[in-house]
Parts: sequence; C-alpha cells; structure tokens
Amino acid sequence: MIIMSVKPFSLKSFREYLSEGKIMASYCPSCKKVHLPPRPICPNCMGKTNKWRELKGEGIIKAYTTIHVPLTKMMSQSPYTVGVIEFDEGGRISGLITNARETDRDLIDLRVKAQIVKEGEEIKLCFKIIS
Amino acid sequence: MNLSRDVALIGAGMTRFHNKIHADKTSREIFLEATLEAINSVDKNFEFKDIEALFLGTFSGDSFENQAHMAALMADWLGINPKPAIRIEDACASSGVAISMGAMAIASGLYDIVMVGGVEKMTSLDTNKVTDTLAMAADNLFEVSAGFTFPGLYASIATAHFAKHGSRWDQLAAVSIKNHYNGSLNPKAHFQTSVLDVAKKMGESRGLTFKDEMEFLRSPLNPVVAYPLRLFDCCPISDGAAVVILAEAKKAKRFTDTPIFLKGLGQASDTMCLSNREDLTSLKGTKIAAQQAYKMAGVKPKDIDLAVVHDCFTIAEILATEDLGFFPKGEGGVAAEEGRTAINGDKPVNPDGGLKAKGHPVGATGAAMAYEMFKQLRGEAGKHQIADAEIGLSHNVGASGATVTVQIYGK
Repeated sequence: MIIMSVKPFSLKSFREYLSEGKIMASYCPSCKKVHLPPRPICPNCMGKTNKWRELKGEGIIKAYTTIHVPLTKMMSQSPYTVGVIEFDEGGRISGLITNARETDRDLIDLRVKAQIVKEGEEIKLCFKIIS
Repeated sequence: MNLSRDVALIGAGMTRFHNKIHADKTSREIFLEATLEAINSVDKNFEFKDIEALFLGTFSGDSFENQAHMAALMADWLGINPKPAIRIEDACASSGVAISMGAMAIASGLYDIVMVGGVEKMTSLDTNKVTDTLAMAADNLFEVSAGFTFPGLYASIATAHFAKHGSRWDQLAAVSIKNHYNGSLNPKAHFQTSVLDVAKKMGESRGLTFKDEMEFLRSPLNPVVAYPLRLFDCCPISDGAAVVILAEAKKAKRFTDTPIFLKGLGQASDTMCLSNREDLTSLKGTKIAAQQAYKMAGVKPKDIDLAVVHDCFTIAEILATEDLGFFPKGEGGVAAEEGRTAINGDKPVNPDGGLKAKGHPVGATGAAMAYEMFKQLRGEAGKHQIADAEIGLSHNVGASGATVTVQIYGK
C-alpha cells in the first residue's frame, strides 16, 4: 500500500507513525527500493519522489549476535540478542530480538515479527522469532 | 588521478601501545613521546621548526579525557605554535584519513613538510564506559538504540559471513593466533605473548593444562564478548600515539637517502548503519578505496609484499584480505587457516601483530600503520621484518566501514 506523503520524511514522522502502531518506510517509485529509516532522497538513485509505504512487520534475520559485554544502559538485560532484519517488502533495520537471549541454533534466515516497544519517552522496534 | 606533487615519509615514531605503561600520562604527553621519536628518526638536517603544519587524528578525547580541540593542544604542547594544527575525527580511521589530508596539503603546494599523527588515551575510563564511547561511532539512533555494541556489529558481520560463505570460528581463531605470534616479535605491541604462552600461564595459575591453542581458545578462559566473537577475537583497549613526517618528494632527499614514497591513496564512505548495506559480508568502502589506491600506484593486489589491515576484530581481517583482492570472496578464512597470511606466508598480513595484538588506541591506529610501512620498507622492522619488502599497503577502517582509507607505499 502506498500512502500519499501526508507527513514529511523525517525521523519525527517515523516515531509518530510507530506510536500509532505503523512501521512506515520510504519507497522510491523509480527504482522500487524501500528504505528504513525513511528519508526524503532515495540513496539508490538520488530521486526526490519518495512515497510512504507501510510495512506489514514481518521479515527475516540477515545477521545477528548475542551480546555478553553490553552497553551500560542494557546491563540488566545482558546477555541479549540483536540482529539485522530484512522486511518482506524490502528495507532493513537493526533491532533487539526478544525471544532469543541465549541460543545454540543459527538464527540466520529465521522469520521474525516486529513488536513496537515503548520505554518511557523512547519508542523502538523489536523483533520476535516466529519460525 | 595522481597527486600534483609526490609525497614521501622521512620519519616515523610511535609509543608502545599499552593499557598500563601510560597510566600516569595524559594524551599530550603520550603524543610528545611519539613525536620526539619521529623527529629523531629523520636521518639528517631535520629540525623541529621545519614542520609547517600538524594533522592530528584522534577519536574522542572529548569523552575519554573531557578534552576537545586536541590539535591545537598538541601544537601548543609540542611548541610548534603558530603553525596550523588540524584535528581529523573519522572514528577508528581518524589518523588514516589524516595521512591522506597531510599528503594532499603537500601535493597542493601549500606546505613542503607536515607532521601527521594520532593519539588516544582510552584507559581513563572503565571497560563499560569505553564500550559506550566506542559505540558513538555507530549510528546512535538506529544501531546503538537497538543495543548494538562495536563488537556486536562485527559479530553480526561474522554470523552473516559464516552463513553466506561457510567460514567458521576456527578461522577467526587462526587470525588471532597468528597476530598474537607476530605481536610477540614487536617491541611496540601491547601483547607480546603468543596464545600458547598465554594458555600455559593462565592454565598454570588455575591448575589447568591445554593441549593446544584451540583448546584454550574454546575454554571459558576465553569468554564470549558478542557471539561468535570471544575475547581473543577482539582488539584490546590501549593508550598510545604514532607520528610520521611527510615531505614533498624532492625535498625529502635533503633529509634522508632512503625516503619511503606514498604511491597511492584511496578513501570511501559507506552507510553508517550496517543494516543498510546490500552485502553484509563485505566492506564496500574497502573495495572502492583499494581500487583508487591500486590505480594511482599502478599496482595490483598480487604486487603487494605485505599489508597492515584493520583487524579490530578477527573477522575484520578476513573481510579485509578478501575485499582488498588478496583472496577470492569467501576464502579469506581458509587463507588464514592455511598460514598464507603468516609472517612467512605468501601474503603476510599484520606482521606487527595488527590491532589484535599491537593494540588499537583508536585515533593512533592509522598513523601506526604508516609507521610500520616506513620501518618495513626501509628494512628496519627488526624481528618481524618481511624480507625484501618493496611495496606495502595499509588499510584503516572507521567504525563498521562507514569510512575506509587505503594507502600504498613503495621505495
């Protein structure tokens, strides 16, 4: 689904959409590429005709790691798993994988579903393995 | 493209990289130590006042020492005022970029002699705070917010590389074993002990024996930092500085009969976020920067006698040896395992121990690579000398590959 550009391609808009439960990417009609985070200029063809595109929120893990020496702010959650997720419609983003704290299996290509998590003022995309 | 005027290295100095020996010094004192060694290394006729400008690569004195405006500070401390001093910050590639900036300043005709250096004093913070500071070089909004650390980014590259190319952790361990051995031959290295000797020492104090390096590296004494990377897959936190003196090629002859020439240079940028890269198992910036440098120098990967590459993590060395064209994509791990990148292999990589064993005071690393090139190509590298080295390549990466510089040096 392509939605007309009702909001500017800003990070503020991205967060506002997330708080409404929508994962919105920018879509370049000329080179058919989906980009996350959304941006006004297509980095692939330099086109300035980007549209908003809502993503269904499912995809696969392209790369991952389980972190044992964490960032200070993540200390209480350690060890935790983060990965690079590719959405079915295209577009990739990094996120916490919430149901794979310590794992012996290879997570590459496993299917995930996005979860929009609010932590105080912060809103972020996390992912749950569904396969 | 070529430089309008040729550029040569006429001197080089560096401190030992270490986490303890510089404890009582600040970055300005560490930098002065490297500078004095560089000045003293110039063969003849050189005076401190010959330096016309300072290009300083440094990452985050702001966070490590609450000190910004580092280039002016260093110029002041060295006593070279009012010569201009320029700070360059491109994460771990800061002083690799500074070398190119210094070379371009000479090529432009503005200066004939410049000093290029790098410094970082990291150990003033504890490991967790260092982890936070290093993560500032990644995308704060879309990587760090997700929980990524620096080891985490390279660990993800590793899991993607394993899946796509069938590489294995054992191959990463081979890089670590090699670089620790090389470090044992380098008096400037942070770690000067082979993995086998570390295993013996750590085992003895705990009543354990290990049949070989691999058994030790698989043990809990080598804990996971970010799966699949363990402690011995990661470079240490080190303090240190390195300095080189660049001169216009004709003027260089006044100071030495054996200058080392900068034959080619290249630099490229890539996406800040690892997630936005088409291929997660390759650094596009390395490929592009290398192509530029090879073209300018008129050489091919097979002509390189030795390389110092950015092995902040063991997987990074495997990527580099592939992306620089030394081995086909996916075969960097096999090459490491077969000993081809060893000091006596057919393509020696990181004979100085690399970031892994030599240490990685972030902003100093690019300049330390130039130091190694200067020593190796003049035949002054001591126990880790590569025999008859004529052409060398250095490769310095910022963060997970958003900045890459490649330089090629020759006699």
